[in-house]
Amino acid sequence: MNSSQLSEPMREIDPLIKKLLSFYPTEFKQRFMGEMILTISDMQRDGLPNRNGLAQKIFIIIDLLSGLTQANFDQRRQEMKKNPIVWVIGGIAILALWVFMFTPSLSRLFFNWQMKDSYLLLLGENPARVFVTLLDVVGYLGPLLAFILLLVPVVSIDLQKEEGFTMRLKARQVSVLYRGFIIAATLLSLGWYVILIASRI
Amino acid sequence: MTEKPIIPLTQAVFHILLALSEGDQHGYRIMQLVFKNTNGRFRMGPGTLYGTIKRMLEDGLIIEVVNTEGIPQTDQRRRYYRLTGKGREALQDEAERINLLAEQLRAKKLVRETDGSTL
Repeated sequence: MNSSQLSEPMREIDPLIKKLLSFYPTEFKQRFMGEMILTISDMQRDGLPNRNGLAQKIFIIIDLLSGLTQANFDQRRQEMKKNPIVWVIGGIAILALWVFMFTPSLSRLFFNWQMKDSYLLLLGENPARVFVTLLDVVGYLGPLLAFILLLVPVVSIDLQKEEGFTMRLKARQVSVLYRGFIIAATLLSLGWYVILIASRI
Repeated sequence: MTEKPIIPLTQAVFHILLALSEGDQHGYRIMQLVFKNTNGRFRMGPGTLYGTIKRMLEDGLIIEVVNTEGIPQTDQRRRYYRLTGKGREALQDEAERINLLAEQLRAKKLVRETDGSTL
């Protein structure tokens, strides 16, 4: 569908709704966007399901937020199904980064090996404090963020609306190898935090 | 990976199948029919509607119809959807499941009569 075909109903739609529509995955947009714009335009014309303009707008926004969340989750899950090896390699790369970051301090803690800290190898002998802090943030928050991001494709959200919204998260096995990585990453991450806390008490 | 069981259907899938059992419809018409059939109790927005339609197309419960006879194509941008054999079967299975539940509720005298009193 080209832009000239969509111009008229598109003009009638609230800018926030238009913005939300842009967050749908590309594939979804190519297939359904034209129809969605027409439908929203019709809803606004007919006052469905609310005659009150503000209530209707809030209803559409909440519905689109849940719809686009699910569409993006579905898209990522499908991408992973098509090419799981990319995700596995990504996981291994993150694991390798963790090992690189944490091995010196772990080896000092357990074996009293005097290994040079990873940040010194990365940033030089006298790094600026801001870079050390930045690396610390990446080192501590990175694993958690990576875990959350990598978990996304193996989670499906079922949205069922019965007098309101309820959300149910359901883990789904996509690949044994990938699941194995998630478990290993979680254990490693948790283990690291436990050691870190224990070493500071 | 095992195929996802279709029954029980989600409310959205059930109502879309029910709307399409009346004939080929476009998205907004489906929304209107669902609103009407449920007396406004189940309100489906565009995100729910098209997200569900996408999954139903992938599951083979419905198909997109290019040329719909007897329906005025007032707007060429609209897409029409049609129930497939699998979709009709899923609707019938769900109807049987609901009927069985309703029978059990009636047997336990938990269903209200039309005047509002419990049997």
